[in-house]
Amino acid sequence: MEKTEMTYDFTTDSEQKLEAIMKKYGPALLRYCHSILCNYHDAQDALQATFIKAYYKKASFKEGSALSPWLYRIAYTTSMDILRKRKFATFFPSVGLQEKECQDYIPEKILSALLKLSGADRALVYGRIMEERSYDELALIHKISATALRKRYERARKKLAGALKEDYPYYTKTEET
Amino acid sequence: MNKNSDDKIIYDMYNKIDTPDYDVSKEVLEKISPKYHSKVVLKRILIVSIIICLCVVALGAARLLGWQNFNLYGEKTGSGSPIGPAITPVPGHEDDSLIPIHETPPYENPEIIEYNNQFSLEHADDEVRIIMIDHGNGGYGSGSDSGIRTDDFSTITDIMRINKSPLKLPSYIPEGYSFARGNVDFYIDEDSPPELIFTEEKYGHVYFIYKLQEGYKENIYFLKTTYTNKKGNRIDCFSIITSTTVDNTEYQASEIAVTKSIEISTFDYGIWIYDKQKTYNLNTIILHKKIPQIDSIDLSNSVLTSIHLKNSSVQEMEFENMMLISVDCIISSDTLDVEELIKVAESIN
Repeated sequence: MEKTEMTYDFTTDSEQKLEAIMKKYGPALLRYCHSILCNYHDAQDALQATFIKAYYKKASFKEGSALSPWLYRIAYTTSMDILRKRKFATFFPSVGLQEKECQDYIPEKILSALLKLSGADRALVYGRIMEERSYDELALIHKISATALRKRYERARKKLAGALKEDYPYYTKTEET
Repeated sequence: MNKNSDDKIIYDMYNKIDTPDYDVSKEVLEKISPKYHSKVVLKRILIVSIIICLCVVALGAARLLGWQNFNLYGEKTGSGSPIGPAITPVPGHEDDSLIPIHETPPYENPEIIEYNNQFSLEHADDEVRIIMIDHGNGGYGSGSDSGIRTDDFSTITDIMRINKSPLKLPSYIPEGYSFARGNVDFYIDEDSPPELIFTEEKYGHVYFIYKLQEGYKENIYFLKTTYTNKKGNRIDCFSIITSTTVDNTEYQASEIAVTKSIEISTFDYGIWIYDKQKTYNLNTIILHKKIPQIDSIDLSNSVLTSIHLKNSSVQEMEFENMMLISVDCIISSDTLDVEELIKVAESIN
Protein backbone atom coordinates (compact mmCIF):
# COMPACT_ATOMS: atom_id res chain seq x y z
CA MET A 1 0.00 0.00 0.00
CA GLU A 2 1.11 3.55 -0.69
CA LYS A 3 2.17 4.95 2.65
CA THR A 4 2.61 8.54 1.57
CA GLU A 5 -0.86 9.95 1.17
CA MET A 6 -1.63 12.78 -1.19
CA THR A 7 -3.51 15.65 0.31
CA TYR A 8 -5.25 18.17 -1.85
CA ASP A 9 -6.81 21.51 -1.61
CA PHE A 10 -9.61 21.09 -4.14
CA THR A 11 -10.60 24.71 -4.09
CA THR A 12 -8.45 25.80 -7.01
CA ASP A 13 -7.49 24.19 -10.30
CA SER A 14 -9.55 21.20 -9.34
CA GLU A 15 -9.50 19.61 -12.79
CA GLN A 16 -5.72 19.58 -12.93
CA LYS A 17 -5.63 18.19 -9.44
CA LEU A 18 -8.13 15.52 -10.35
CA GLU A 19 -5.93 14.54 -13.27
CA ALA A 20 -2.98 14.12 -10.93
CA ILE A 21 -5.11 12.08 -8.56
CA MET A 22 -6.26 9.84 -11.41
CA LYS A 23 -2.71 9.25 -12.46
CA LYS A 24 -1.59 8.36 -8.97
CA TYR A 25 -4.54 6.36 -7.68
CA GLY A 26 -6.16 5.12 -10.89
CA PRO A 27 -4.18 1.87 -11.37
CA ALA A 28 -4.60 0.74 -7.75
CA LEU A 29 -8.28 1.66 -7.68
CA LEU A 30 -8.84 -0.24 -10.93
CA ARG A 31 -7.36 -3.38 -9.39
CA TYR A 32 -9.46 -2.83 -6.27
CA CYS A 33 -12.68 -2.49 -8.31
CA HIS A 34 -11.67 -5.49 -10.43
CA SER A 35 -11.20 -7.59 -7.32
CA ILE A 36 -14.68 -6.67 -6.08
CA LEU A 37 -16.53 -6.88 -9.37
CA CYS A 38 -14.57 -9.74 -10.95
CA ASN A 39 -15.22 -8.11 -14.28
CA TYR A 40 -12.70 -5.86 -15.96
CA HIS A 41 -15.20 -3.80 -17.96
CA ASP A 42 -17.34 -3.16 -14.90
CA ALA A 43 -14.18 -2.19 -13.05
CA GLN A 44 -13.40 0.38 -15.75
CA ASP A 45 -16.91 1.82 -15.39
CA ALA A 46 -16.56 1.86 -11.62
CA LEU A 47 -13.24 3.66 -11.86
CA GLN A 48 -14.69 6.34 -14.13
CA ALA A 49 -17.68 6.83 -11.86
CA THR A 50 -15.42 7.00 -8.82
CA PHE A 51 -13.40 9.92 -10.16
CA ILE A 52 -16.46 11.73 -11.46
CA LYS A 53 -18.08 11.42 -8.05
CA ALA A 54 -14.85 12.47 -6.37
CA TYR A 55 -14.84 15.60 -8.48
CA TYR A 56 -18.42 16.55 -7.75
CA LYS A 57 -18.18 15.57 -4.11
CA LYS A 58 -14.98 17.51 -3.57
CA ALA A 59 -16.74 19.80 -1.11
CA SER A 60 -17.13 16.83 1.22
CA PHE A 61 -13.39 16.15 1.24
CA LYS A 62 -11.77 17.61 4.32
CA GLU A 63 -8.70 19.53 3.36
CA GLY A 64 -5.56 18.03 4.83
CA SER A 65 -7.13 14.63 5.48
CA ALA A 66 -5.97 11.45 3.76
CA LEU A 67 -7.22 11.18 0.24
CA SER A 68 -6.85 7.46 -0.20
CA PRO A 69 -9.59 6.21 2.22
CA TRP A 70 -11.94 8.84 0.84
CA LEU A 71 -11.35 7.69 -2.74
CA TYR A 72 -11.58 4.03 -1.78
CA ARG A 73 -14.86 4.67 0.01
CA ILE A 74 -16.28 6.12 -3.22
CA ALA A 75 -14.86 3.24 -5.27
CA TYR A 76 -16.31 0.75 -2.81
CA THR A 77 -19.86 2.18 -2.86
CA THR A 78 -19.71 2.56 -6.64
CA SER A 79 -18.67 -1.07 -7.06
CA MET A 80 -21.39 -2.22 -4.69
CA ASP A 81 -23.94 -0.28 -6.74
CA ILE A 82 -22.78 -2.09 -9.86
CA LEU A 83 -23.09 -5.44 -8.10
CA ARG A 84 -26.63 -4.59 -7.04
CA LYS A 85 -27.51 -3.75 -10.61
CA ARG A 86 -26.37 -7.20 -11.67
CA LYS A 87 -29.33 -8.52 -9.76
CA PHE A 88 -31.37 -7.51 -12.80
CA ALA A 89 -30.22 -10.75 -14.33
CA THR A 90 -32.38 -12.67 -11.89
CA PHE A 91 -35.46 -11.02 -13.37
CA PHE A 92 -34.42 -11.72 -16.92
CA PRO A 93 -33.02 -15.21 -16.96
CA SER A 94 -32.77 -15.30 -20.72
CA VAL A 95 -30.49 -12.30 -20.78
CA GLY A 96 -28.66 -12.92 -17.55
CA LEU A 97 -24.98 -12.24 -17.24
CA GLN A 98 -23.19 -15.02 -18.97
CA GLU A 99 -20.49 -16.80 -17.04
CA LYS A 100 -17.94 -15.77 -19.64
CA GLU A 101 -18.78 -12.11 -19.08
CA CYS A 102 -17.29 -12.45 -15.62
CA GLN A 103 -14.28 -14.46 -16.54
CA ASP A 104 -12.18 -11.85 -18.20
CA TYR A 105 -8.60 -11.79 -17.00
CA ILE A 106 -9.44 -13.94 -13.99
CA PRO A 107 -8.59 -17.65 -14.19
CA GLU A 108 -11.71 -19.76 -13.91
CA LYS A 109 -10.88 -21.49 -10.64
CA ILE A 110 -9.84 -18.26 -8.97
CA LEU A 111 -13.07 -16.67 -10.10
CA SER A 112 -15.03 -19.57 -8.71
CA ALA A 113 -13.31 -19.13 -5.33
CA LEU A 114 -13.76 -15.35 -5.31
CA LEU A 115 -17.45 -15.64 -6.12
CA LYS A 116 -17.94 -17.66 -2.96
CA LEU A 117 -17.51 -14.35 -1.11
CA SER A 118 -19.86 -11.40 -1.18
CA GLY A 119 -18.69 -8.24 -2.93
CA ALA A 120 -18.17 -6.53 0.43
CA ASP A 121 -16.02 -9.42 1.64
CA ARG A 122 -14.00 -9.42 -1.56
CA ALA A 123 -13.30 -5.71 -1.00
CA LEU A 124 -12.34 -6.38 2.58
CA VAL A 125 -9.96 -9.24 1.83
CA TYR A 126 -8.31 -7.34 -1.02
CA GLY A 127 -7.91 -4.23 1.11
CA ARG A 128 -6.40 -6.19 3.94
CA ILE A 129 -4.07 -8.49 2.03
CA MET A 130 -3.07 -6.60 -1.08
CA GLU A 131 -3.14 -3.08 0.26
CA GLU A 132 -2.21 -3.94 3.81
CA ARG A 133 -4.76 -1.58 5.24
CA SER A 134 -5.33 -1.50 8.96
CA TYR A 135 -8.79 -2.29 10.30
CA ASP A 136 -9.19 1.35 11.25
CA GLU A 137 -8.56 2.41 7.66
CA LEU A 138 -10.89 -0.28 6.37
CA ALA A 139 -13.54 0.92 8.81
CA LEU A 140 -13.46 4.32 7.08
CA ILE A 141 -14.09 2.64 3.73
CA HIS A 142 -16.69 0.10 4.81
CA LYS A 143 -18.36 2.26 7.46
CA ILE A 144 -18.33 -0.68 9.84
CA SER A 145 -16.47 -0.83 13.15
CA ALA A 146 -12.91 -2.14 13.10
CA THR A 147 -13.85 -4.93 15.51
CA ALA A 148 -16.70 -6.15 13.31
CA LEU A 149 -14.46 -5.94 10.25
CA ARG A 150 -11.79 -8.06 11.89
CA LYS A 151 -14.30 -10.84 12.53
CA ARG A 152 -15.69 -10.59 9.04
CA TYR A 153 -12.24 -10.61 7.54
CA GLU A 154 -11.24 -13.74 9.41
CA ARG A 155 -14.35 -15.58 8.25
CA ALA A 156 -13.92 -14.39 4.66
CA ARG A 157 -10.22 -15.24 4.58
CA LYS A 158 -10.89 -18.76 5.83
CA LYS A 159 -13.64 -19.26 3.28
CA LEU A 160 -11.58 -17.97 0.38
CA ALA A 161 -8.42 -19.82 1.34
CA GLY A 162 -10.48 -22.98 1.82
CA ALA A 163 -11.96 -22.66 -1.65
CA LEU A 164 -8.54 -22.06 -3.16
CA LYS A 165 -7.03 -25.07 -1.41
CA GLU A 166 -9.79 -27.24 -2.88
CA ASP A 167 -8.96 -26.13 -6.38
CA TYR A 168 -5.23 -25.68 -5.93
CA PRO A 169 -3.96 -28.47 -3.70
CA TYR A 170 -0.40 -27.40 -4.48
CA TYR A 171 -0.97 -24.36 -2.25
CA THR A 172 -1.04 -26.71 0.71
CA LYS A 173 2.08 -28.54 -0.55
CA THR A 174 3.97 -25.28 -0.90
CA GLU A 175 3.02 -24.46 2.64
CA GLU A 176 4.31 -27.81 3.84
CA THR A 177 7.66 -27.46 2.15
CA MET B 1 1.29 -6.94 8.23
CA ASN B 2 2.38 -10.44 9.14
CA LYS B 3 0.96 -12.91 6.68
CA ASN B 4 -0.19 -16.31 7.79
CA SER B 5 -0.52 -19.25 5.41
CA ASP B 6 -4.05 -18.34 4.32
CA ASP B 7 -2.95 -14.78 3.63
CA LYS B 8 -0.12 -16.08 1.48
CA ILE B 9 -2.45 -18.30 -0.51
CA ILE B 10 -4.77 -15.37 -1.13
CA TYR B 11 -1.87 -13.05 -1.93
CA ASP B 12 -0.60 -15.51 -4.54
CA MET B 13 -4.08 -15.78 -5.96
CA TYR B 14 -4.45 -12.03 -6.44
CA ASN B 15 -1.08 -11.95 -8.18
CA LYS B 16 -2.49 -14.35 -10.79
CA ILE B 17 -5.21 -11.87 -11.72
CA ASP B 18 -4.31 -9.69 -14.66
CA THR B 19 -5.76 -6.18 -14.60
CA PRO B 20 -4.60 -4.40 -17.78
CA ASP B 21 -3.76 -0.70 -17.57
CA TYR B 22 -6.54 1.72 -18.38
CA ASP B 23 -6.23 5.47 -18.79
CA VAL B 24 -9.42 6.80 -17.27
CA SER B 25 -8.56 10.49 -17.33
CA LYS B 26 -9.78 11.41 -20.82
CA GLU B 27 -13.31 10.14 -20.28
CA VAL B 28 -13.56 11.56 -16.79
CA LEU B 29 -12.34 15.00 -17.80
CA GLU B 30 -14.78 15.05 -20.70
CA LYS B 31 -17.68 14.21 -18.41
CA ILE B 32 -16.87 16.90 -15.90
CA SER B 33 -16.36 19.58 -18.52
CA PRO B 34 -18.53 22.70 -18.11
CA LYS B 35 -20.33 21.89 -21.38
CA TYR B 36 -21.43 18.52 -20.07
CA HIS B 37 -22.21 19.93 -16.65
CA SER B 38 -24.27 22.87 -17.87
CA LYS B 39 -26.98 20.50 -19.07
CA VAL B 40 -27.33 19.12 -15.59
CA VAL B 41 -27.59 22.55 -13.99
CA LEU B 42 -30.19 23.63 -16.51
CA LYS B 43 -32.34 20.61 -15.76
CA ARG B 44 -32.23 21.36 -12.07
CA ILE B 45 -33.26 24.93 -12.63
CA LEU B 46 -36.15 23.64 -14.68
CA ILE B 47 -37.28 21.34 -11.92
CA VAL B 48 -37.34 24.16 -9.42
CA SER B 49 -39.17 26.29 -11.92
CA ILE B 50 -41.99 23.81 -12.13
CA ILE B 51 -43.02 24.54 -8.62
CA ILE B 52 -43.63 28.22 -9.09
CA CYS B 53 -45.41 27.58 -12.39
CA LEU B 54 -47.69 25.32 -10.48
CA CYS B 55 -48.27 27.89 -7.77
CA VAL B 56 -49.32 30.39 -10.36
CA VAL B 57 -51.55 27.91 -12.11
CA ALA B 58 -53.13 26.97 -8.83
CA LEU B 59 -53.89 30.60 -8.12
CA GLY B 60 -55.75 31.06 -11.37
CA ALA B 61 -53.23 33.09 -13.31
CA ALA B 62 -52.57 30.49 -15.97
CA ARG B 63 -54.44 32.42 -18.60
CA LEU B 64 -51.75 35.08 -18.64
CA LEU B 65 -49.72 34.96 -21.80
CA GLY B 66 -46.30 36.25 -20.86
CA TRP B 67 -43.83 34.88 -18.40
CA GLN B 68 -40.71 36.16 -16.75
CA ASN B 69 -37.99 34.65 -14.65
CA PHE B 70 -36.69 35.92 -11.33
CA ASN B 71 -33.67 35.03 -9.28
CA LEU B 72 -33.63 34.93 -5.51
CA TYR B 73 -32.26 38.46 -5.34
CA GLY B 74 -35.56 39.53 -6.86
CA GLU B 75 -33.96 40.46 -10.20
CA LYS B 76 -35.51 39.69 -13.56
CA THR B 77 -33.36 37.21 -15.45
CA GLY B 78 -35.33 36.61 -18.61
CA SER B 79 -38.72 36.17 -20.13
CA GLY B 80 -40.54 33.95 -22.56
CA SER B 81 -42.81 31.01 -22.70
CA PRO B 82 -43.22 28.76 -19.70
CA ILE B 83 -40.27 26.44 -19.32
CA GLY B 84 -40.10 22.99 -17.89
CA PRO B 85 -41.95 19.80 -18.63
CA ALA B 86 -45.70 19.71 -18.60
CA ILE B 87 -47.46 17.89 -15.84
CA THR B 88 -49.96 15.25 -16.79
CA PRO B 89 -52.34 14.51 -13.98
CA VAL B 90 -53.32 10.92 -13.52
CA PRO B 91 -57.07 10.31 -13.15
CA GLY B 92 -57.98 10.52 -9.50
CA HIS B 93 -54.87 12.49 -8.68
CA GLU B 94 -55.66 15.76 -10.45
CA ASP B 95 -55.03 17.79 -7.36
CA ASP B 96 -51.52 16.47 -6.84
CA SER B 97 -49.24 19.09 -8.20
CA LEU B 98 -45.99 17.27 -8.83
CA ILE B 99 -47.10 13.68 -9.01
CA PRO B 100 -46.99 11.27 -10.74
CA ILE B 101 -45.78 11.59 -14.32
CA HIS B 102 -43.51 14.21 -15.83
CA GLU B 103 -43.67 13.96 -19.56
CA THR B 104 -40.81 15.41 -21.56
CA PRO B 105 -41.81 14.78 -25.15
CA PRO B 106 -45.31 15.51 -26.38
CA TYR B 107 -47.42 12.44 -26.94
CA GLU B 108 -49.51 12.05 -30.01
CA ASN B 109 -50.84 8.58 -29.50
CA PRO B 110 -53.73 8.54 -27.00
CA GLU B 111 -53.35 4.79 -26.65
CA ILE B 112 -49.85 5.30 -25.26
CA ILE B 113 -50.98 8.05 -22.91
CA GLU B 114 -53.73 5.81 -21.65
CA TYR B 115 -51.36 2.89 -21.23
CA ASN B 116 -48.84 5.06 -19.35
CA ASN B 117 -51.48 6.25 -16.94
CA GLN B 118 -52.87 2.77 -16.53
CA PHE B 119 -49.41 1.36 -15.89
CA SER B 120 -48.75 3.97 -13.22
CA LEU B 121 -52.10 3.49 -11.54
CA GLU B 122 -51.84 -0.29 -11.55
CA HIS B 123 -48.71 -0.07 -9.48
CA ALA B 124 -49.67 2.96 -7.45
CA ASP B 125 -50.87 0.98 -4.47
CA ASP B 126 -47.49 -0.33 -3.49
CA GLU B 127 -45.83 2.42 -1.55
CA VAL B 128 -42.28 1.21 -2.11
CA ARG B 129 -42.25 1.60 -5.85
CA ILE B 130 -40.98 4.07 -8.36
CA ILE B 131 -42.30 3.91 -11.86
CA MET B 132 -40.27 5.15 -14.76
CA ILE B 133 -41.12 5.27 -18.39
CA ASP B 134 -38.59 5.70 -21.13
CA HIS B 135 -40.22 7.42 -24.06
CA GLY B 136 -37.97 5.84 -26.59
CA ASN B 137 -36.63 9.05 -28.07
CA GLY B 138 -34.29 10.22 -25.40
CA GLY B 139 -36.98 11.42 -23.05
CA TYR B 140 -38.20 9.71 -19.97
CA GLY B 141 -40.86 10.13 -17.39
CA SER B 142 -40.99 9.21 -13.80
CA GLY B 143 -43.62 8.81 -11.23
CA SER B 144 -42.86 8.10 -7.63
CA ASP B 145 -45.43 6.55 -5.42
CA SER B 146 -43.03 6.56 -2.57
CA GLY B 147 -44.63 9.70 -1.24
CA ILE B 148 -47.57 10.17 1.06
CA ARG B 149 -50.69 12.16 0.30
CA THR B 150 -53.11 12.63 3.12
CA ASP B 151 -55.90 14.77 4.52
CA ASP B 152 -55.01 13.69 8.05
CA PHE B 153 -52.66 16.19 9.65
CA SER B 154 -51.42 13.67 12.24
CA THR B 155 -49.99 11.51 9.43
CA ILE B 156 -47.78 14.44 8.42
CA THR B 157 -46.78 15.34 11.96
CA ASP B 158 -45.96 11.70 12.77
CA ILE B 159 -43.56 11.53 9.83
CA MET B 160 -42.02 14.86 10.77
CA ARG B 161 -41.46 13.63 14.31
CA ILE B 162 -39.33 10.63 13.30
CA ASN B 163 -37.53 12.59 10.64
CA LYS B 164 -34.55 14.87 10.98
CA SER B 165 -35.45 16.73 7.82
CA PRO B 166 -34.46 20.36 7.39
CA LEU B 167 -37.98 20.90 6.07
CA LYS B 168 -40.41 22.23 8.65
CA LEU B 169 -44.11 22.89 8.91
CA PRO B 170 -45.37 26.37 9.69
CA SER B 171 -46.33 26.70 13.35
CA TYR B 172 -48.51 29.73 12.60
CA ILE B 173 -51.54 29.62 10.35
CA PRO B 174 -53.98 32.58 10.41
CA GLU B 175 -57.26 32.17 12.22
CA GLY B 176 -60.05 30.57 10.23
CA TYR B 177 -57.72 28.31 8.26
CA SER B 178 -57.24 24.64 8.94
CA PHE B 179 -55.21 21.84 7.42
CA ALA B 180 -56.87 20.46 4.29
CA ARG B 181 -54.31 18.12 2.76
CA GLY B 182 -50.61 17.45 2.47
CA ASN B 183 -47.96 15.63 0.48
CA VAL B 184 -44.63 14.30 1.63
CA ASP B 185 -42.05 12.89 -0.76
CA PHE B 186 -38.74 11.29 0.06
CA TYR B 187 -35.30 11.44 -1.38
CA ILE B 188 -33.25 8.29 -1.81
CA ASP B 189 -30.02 8.00 0.03
CA GLU B 190 -26.97 7.64 -2.18
CA ASP B 191 -25.93 4.44 -0.42
CA SER B 192 -29.33 2.77 -0.87
CA PRO B 193 -30.19 2.91 -4.57
CA PRO B 194 -33.54 1.50 -5.69
CA GLU B 195 -33.61 -2.00 -7.09
CA LEU B 196 -35.18 -2.84 -10.43
CA ILE B 197 -37.94 -5.41 -9.95
CA PHE B 198 -39.88 -5.25 -13.19
CA THR B 199 -39.50 -4.05 -16.73
CA GLU B 200 -41.63 -4.24 -19.81
CA GLU B 201 -41.27 -3.10 -23.40
CA LYS B 202 -44.37 -1.82 -25.15
CA TYR B 203 -45.03 0.68 -27.92
CA GLY B 204 -41.28 1.00 -28.29
CA HIS B 205 -40.99 2.32 -24.75
CA VAL B 206 -39.50 0.71 -21.72
CA TYR B 207 -41.40 0.65 -18.45
CA PHE B 208 -39.58 0.10 -15.18
CA ILE B 209 -40.63 -0.47 -11.61
CA TYR B 210 -38.05 0.00 -8.93
CA LYS B 211 -38.30 -0.99 -5.33
CA LEU B 212 -37.01 1.38 -2.68
CA GLN B 213 -34.86 0.11 0.11
CA GLU B 214 -35.88 0.09 3.75
CA GLY B 215 -35.58 3.36 5.59
CA TYR B 216 -36.32 5.65 2.69
CA LYS B 217 -39.10 7.29 4.69
CA GLU B 218 -36.50 8.83 6.93
CA ASN B 219 -35.51 11.21 4.15
CA ILE B 220 -38.06 13.93 3.52
CA TYR B 221 -37.38 15.74 0.28
CA PHE B 222 -40.60 17.57 -0.42
CA LEU B 223 -43.34 18.77 1.86
CA LYS B 224 -46.52 20.46 0.84
CA THR B 225 -49.37 21.43 3.09
CA THR B 226 -52.57 23.20 2.11
CA TYR B 227 -54.81 25.07 4.51
CA THR B 228 -58.28 26.33 3.65
CA ASN B 229 -61.00 28.39 5.30
CA LYS B 230 -64.78 28.13 5.07
CA LYS B 231 -64.87 30.48 2.08
CA GLY B 232 -62.57 28.17 0.16
CA ASN B 233 -59.54 30.49 0.33
CA ARG B 234 -56.27 28.68 0.66
CA ILE B 235 -52.71 28.88 1.83
CA ASP B 236 -50.17 26.56 0.20
CA CYS B 237 -46.81 25.90 1.80
CA PHE B 238 -44.23 24.03 -0.28
CA SER B 239 -40.78 23.14 0.96
CA ILE B 240 -38.22 21.29 -1.07
CA ILE B 241 -34.57 20.36 -0.67
CA THR B 242 -32.71 21.31 -3.82
CA SER B 243 -29.33 20.93 -5.42
CA THR B 244 -29.21 24.52 -6.57
CA THR B 245 -27.36 27.41 -5.01
CA VAL B 246 -28.82 30.87 -4.71
CA ASP B 247 -26.99 31.85 -7.88
CA ASN B 248 -28.48 29.19 -10.11
CA THR B 249 -32.05 29.14 -8.88
CA GLU B 250 -34.71 30.90 -10.86
CA TYR B 251 -38.42 31.12 -10.51
CA GLN B 252 -40.94 31.83 -13.15
CA ALA B 253 -44.04 33.93 -12.78
CA SER B 254 -46.47 35.74 -15.04
CA GLU B 255 -45.45 38.98 -16.73
CA ILE B 256 -47.54 41.14 -14.39
CA ALA B 257 -45.54 39.95 -11.38
CA VAL B 258 -43.31 42.26 -9.42
CA THR B 259 -40.89 41.25 -6.71
CA LYS B 260 -39.72 42.69 -3.46
CA SER B 261 -36.94 41.38 -1.23
CA ILE B 262 -38.00 40.44 2.25
CA GLU B 263 -36.09 39.27 5.31
CA ILE B 264 -37.08 36.17 7.19
CA SER B 265 -34.82 35.39 10.12
CA THR B 266 -34.53 31.65 9.51
CA PHE B 267 -33.72 31.90 5.78
CA ASP B 268 -30.82 33.41 3.85
CA TYR B 269 -32.90 34.95 1.04
CA GLY B 270 -36.51 35.89 0.64
CA ILE B 271 -38.61 37.48 -2.09
CA TRP B 272 -42.27 38.32 -2.35
CA ILE B 273 -43.77 37.93 -5.82
CA TYR B 274 -47.11 39.64 -6.32
CA ASP B 275 -49.40 41.42 -8.73
CA LYS B 276 -49.18 45.11 -8.00
CA GLN B 277 -52.51 45.77 -9.72
CA LYS B 278 -54.16 43.00 -7.73
CA THR B 279 -55.89 41.86 -10.90
CA TYR B 280 -54.76 38.31 -10.39
CA ASN B 281 -54.28 36.16 -7.36
CA LEU B 282 -50.50 36.22 -7.47
CA ASN B 283 -49.17 36.44 -3.96
CA THR B 284 -46.19 34.25 -3.12
CA ILE B 285 -43.21 34.35 -0.82
CA ILE B 286 -40.13 32.37 -1.84
CA LEU B 287 -37.41 31.62 0.68
CA HIS B 288 -34.02 29.99 0.29
CA LYS B 289 -31.32 28.83 2.67
CA LYS B 290 -28.19 26.71 2.57
CA ILE B 291 -28.08 23.43 4.46
CA PRO B 292 -25.32 20.88 5.14
CA GLN B 293 -24.85 18.71 2.07
CA ILE B 294 -26.97 15.58 1.66
CA ASP B 295 -25.92 12.92 -0.87
CA SER B 296 -28.91 11.47 -2.64
CA ILE B 297 -29.96 9.83 -5.86
CA ASP B 298 -31.54 11.99 -8.49
CA LEU B 299 -34.57 10.27 -9.93
CA SER B 300 -35.50 13.15 -12.15
CA ASN B 301 -32.19 13.28 -13.91
CA SER B 302 -31.58 9.69 -14.77
CA VAL B 303 -30.43 8.44 -18.12
CA LEU B 304 -31.23 5.28 -19.93
CA THR B 305 -28.37 2.91 -20.50
CA SER B 306 -28.12 -0.48 -22.05
CA ILE B 307 -25.96 -3.39 -21.15
CA HIS B 308 -25.49 -5.23 -24.38
CA LEU B 309 -25.02 -8.93 -24.05
CA LYS B 310 -24.63 -11.59 -26.70
CA ASN B 311 -28.06 -11.80 -28.27
CA SER B 312 -30.16 -9.26 -26.48
CA SER B 313 -29.94 -6.36 -24.14
CA VAL B 314 -31.07 -5.38 -20.70
CA GLN B 315 -31.99 -1.79 -20.24
CA GLU B 316 -31.88 0.02 -16.99
CA MET B 317 -32.10 3.50 -15.62
CA GLU B 318 -28.75 4.82 -14.58
CA PHE B 319 -29.34 6.93 -11.51
CA GLU B 320 -27.23 9.99 -11.07
CA ASN B 321 -26.13 11.13 -7.69
CA MET B 322 -27.30 14.49 -6.52
CA MET B 323 -25.95 16.73 -3.82
CA LEU B 324 -28.76 18.46 -1.99
CA ILE B 325 -27.49 21.71 -0.57
CA SER B 326 -30.36 24.09 0.04
CA VAL B 327 -33.97 24.42 1.03
CA ASP B 328 -36.50 26.43 -0.92
CA CYS B 329 -39.80 27.26 0.64
CA ILE B 330 -42.78 28.75 -1.15
CA ILE B 331 -45.82 30.16 0.58
CA SER B 332 -48.78 31.25 -1.50
CA SER B 333 -52.20 32.54 -0.71
CA ASP B 334 -55.05 33.95 -2.70
CA THR B 335 -56.24 36.25 0.09
CA LEU B 336 -53.65 36.87 2.79
CA ASP B 337 -51.83 40.17 2.87
CA VAL B 338 -48.06 40.14 2.84
CA GLU B 339 -47.78 40.76 6.58
CA GLU B 340 -49.72 37.57 7.25
CA LEU B 341 -47.70 35.66 4.67
CA ILE B 342 -44.52 36.81 6.41
CA LYS B 343 -45.87 35.63 9.76
CA VAL B 344 -46.45 32.18 8.27
CA ALA B 345 -42.95 32.26 6.77
CA GLU B 346 -41.37 33.28 10.08
CA SER B 347 -43.04 30.35 11.80
CA ILE B 348 -41.31 27.81 9.54
CA ASN B 349 -38.32 26.99 11.72
